[in-house]
Amino acid sequence: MTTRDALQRLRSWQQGRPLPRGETLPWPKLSDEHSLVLAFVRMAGETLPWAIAIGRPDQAPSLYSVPDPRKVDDVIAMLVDLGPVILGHLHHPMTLTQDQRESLRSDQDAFFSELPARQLWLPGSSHRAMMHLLDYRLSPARRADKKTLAVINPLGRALGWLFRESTRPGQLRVMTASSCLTTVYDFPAEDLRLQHLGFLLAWLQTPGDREARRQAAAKAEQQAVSMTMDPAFERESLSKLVESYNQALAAEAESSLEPEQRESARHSAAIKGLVEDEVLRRWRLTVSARALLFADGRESNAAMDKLVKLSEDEYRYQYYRNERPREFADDVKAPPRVGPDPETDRSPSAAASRFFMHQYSEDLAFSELIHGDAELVEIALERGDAIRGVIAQVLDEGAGRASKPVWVVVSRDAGVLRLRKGSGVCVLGLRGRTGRIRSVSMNDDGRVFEVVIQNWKRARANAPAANDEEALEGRAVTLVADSPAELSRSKAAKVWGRRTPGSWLTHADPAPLPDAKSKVRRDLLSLVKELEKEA
Amino acid sequence: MKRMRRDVRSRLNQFVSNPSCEANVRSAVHDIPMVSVARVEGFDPTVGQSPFAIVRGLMFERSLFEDGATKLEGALVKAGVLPPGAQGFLDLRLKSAGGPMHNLVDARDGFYDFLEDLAERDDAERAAIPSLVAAPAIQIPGRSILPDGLFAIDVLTIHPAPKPEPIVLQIGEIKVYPDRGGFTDAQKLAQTRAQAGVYLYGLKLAISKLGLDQAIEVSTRGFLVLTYPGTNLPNIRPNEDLEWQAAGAAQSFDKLRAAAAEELPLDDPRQAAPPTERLAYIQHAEIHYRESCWQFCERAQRCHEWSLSAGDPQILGESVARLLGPIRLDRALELMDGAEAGNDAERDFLTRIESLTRGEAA
Repeated sequence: MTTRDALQRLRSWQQGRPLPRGETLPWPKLSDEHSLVLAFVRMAGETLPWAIAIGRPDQAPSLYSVPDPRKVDDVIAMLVDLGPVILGHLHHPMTLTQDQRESLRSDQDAFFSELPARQLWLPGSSHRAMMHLLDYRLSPARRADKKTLAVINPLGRALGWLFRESTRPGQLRVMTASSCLTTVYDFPAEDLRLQHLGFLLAWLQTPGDREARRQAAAKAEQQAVSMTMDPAFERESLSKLVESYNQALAAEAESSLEPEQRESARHSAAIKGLVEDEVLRRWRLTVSARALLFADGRESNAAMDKLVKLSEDEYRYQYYRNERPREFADDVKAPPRVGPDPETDRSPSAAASRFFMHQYSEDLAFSELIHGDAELVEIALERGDAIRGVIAQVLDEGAGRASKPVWVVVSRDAGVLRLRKGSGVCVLGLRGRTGRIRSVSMNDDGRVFEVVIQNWKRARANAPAANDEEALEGRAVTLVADSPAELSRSKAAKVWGRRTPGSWLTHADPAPLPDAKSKVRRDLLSLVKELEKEA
Repeated sequence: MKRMRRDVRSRLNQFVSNPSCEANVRSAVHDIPMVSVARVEGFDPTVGQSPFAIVRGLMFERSLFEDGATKLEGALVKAGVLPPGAQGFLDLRLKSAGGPMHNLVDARDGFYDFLEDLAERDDAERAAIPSLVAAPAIQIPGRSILPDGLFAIDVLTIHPAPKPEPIVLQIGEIKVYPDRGGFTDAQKLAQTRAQAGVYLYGLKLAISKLGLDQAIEVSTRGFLVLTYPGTNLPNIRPNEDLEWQAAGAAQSFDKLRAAAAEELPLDDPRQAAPPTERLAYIQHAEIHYRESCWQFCERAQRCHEWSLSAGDPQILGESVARLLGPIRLDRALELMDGAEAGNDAERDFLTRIESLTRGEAA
């Protein structure tokens, strides 16, 4: 947390309410039709869901549950029902229409360009974790009938990809409601409590003064919103029911009664009522959070096009390529439909490549979004990743027809500065006009930067030529760090090569396993005698 | 053995969660449940674990030690904690957990006899030492934790070496939460490591008290036994460096000793709540509120309210507390509203916010 963030939190306390952070939202607002809201609850100690709620934010959700999530077959059957919803959300090949399949087969670029963007909303980080846990369980599953495997294997891979994508900086597909709220609001409370969606919504939605909001938030916090339910609720309401259900089930092994007439059915219905209420509450809170974010007046950042493109590429190449049926393979050999392991990258090159892609994503998000939100500029200035000053002088050191504009920028700011000689910079609001800092010095007016403009030197619709001293001298300018995002992207590809720096590490054969330790024989005489006997 | 409201291990875990808070230390040492204090103060926190979670934990632990601990031993060999061919298992679990011991005193005596036997063994005999000990019970020497200081470590591995090298013990912590690689719950991992550090330090103390520290060494490297997600299979995290946690425990134990030295009216755990005088002992203690208190302490809300009325910036988190330093929250708001600084800390605070505000206005 920076000084600025801490100060903003103080200000929000001073004003008695959460304060908006940023002038824009760093994600696109997709329609209800292209959004899905998903929530889970689980039995404490277990890693499979007890109940699931999923659906469009403008419609009643579908609810799924089992009486006892420790009975894995029941949970798998529930997930088989859930599968088509998630897979359809991701346009999985098995959910495509005939026309879409034909399009995928004949022209993949056209197919992907026509696919609408989609978002998955979740209440909080524990629900994201459940996606990862389901990947562990479902993706490698082999012991089930073919029909079941045909759903749960791709479902596991889909949830696994969604989880991994949710960890990529600047991603736009998986929206964790509590994180979204804390990204665009400063709340007057401790970090730990900001993970609770109900707590956050109470701060935002309660009328009155600070004390009224604080009390409402504390009260909302008493109701669990993570995938784990309140232990007291499980103890007092659920445990007896589950026990009775299992006892009834055991006693009914030879029963001739219809299933719905049995004692176990009665307990099962009671359990269903309770757990589905719990998951529905979490689902509704998520819908409320989404609605609040859409209604708060801020638009999406206008400088997101590259992030959107990256999201589309990640979907196509990190997820869809693995799911594409073999018959749709083009001249690239279709990879086996196993998918990434939920536990490990299994290969140093794969791990390194994903690291660099995450680095690229983060750099891209910073360097793009800053052009669409003035508050991000302030944050960059505080961090020393930007310069605000005046163009004191414009020179052209080019020879002949070649232009080499050099700006002398004077800045009065005296705070932290991470930009230095050699740093790349970009003119705020003109993403193509980039340059490099040639020198940094001080004079009575402040810091003096000499910046060589290297790209977009000519005049543009909204900007004079970079060597137009009449138009530019005396003009205020903000230069932001032009982080070498493309460098990380290029590393992500190069790291697969056998002849690139670091390949001695990424492409090394693994060391042999150590031999089992042999027993140490200290009594040499008896050893020799034994050997003699053997001989 | 004197009755207790909560076992020593639970109280040690409570202590390690916030050793800076005098109220917390007193509650842990003298077995005065914080929930009773909170209720007397007018709060009604929910307490207790889910019965499902308890059963899951017990089942997992039992499965590890079934059939002479073959499952756990195999996993430890695979993870490199034990060498291939390691065998032998000493079960000191209580009967309630599936073991042979009647109570913790028996388990402790059994473990201490084992340690003394270990120290006596010659090289040939060392080869036959069991490689795994389940639930070895130890007693923290001195009056650190009233009344008996007895608790059981989850598991120990034994690593013999030829004399004169000491036999090395490694501590293992068993937890039922899933190991998700780099995505495993970081807070839970930190808590588990902190607990293991306390047990490591306690084991060192016990071995030293027995006079066996020349023959037996406790490694500062331990291991965690977590679950493989969605299964009952163990996932081992070997080579956990617990040195720092053990050092922290060593420093904190002085607080335990100081609190343990105080005499309090007696308690009868069969009564629903401790007597008022014992509760007052907690209520009059200084608190050290932090946001992490919400994760484990039933009195967190009370301490939060207290901190709020005292203007403690901790109620807005560690970062704000660091920014303000000694400045109270209400005073910070006055300064932000234009009040003049009265000391260096306030001047520094104003300078920092002015430079930020100037940037925003530009």
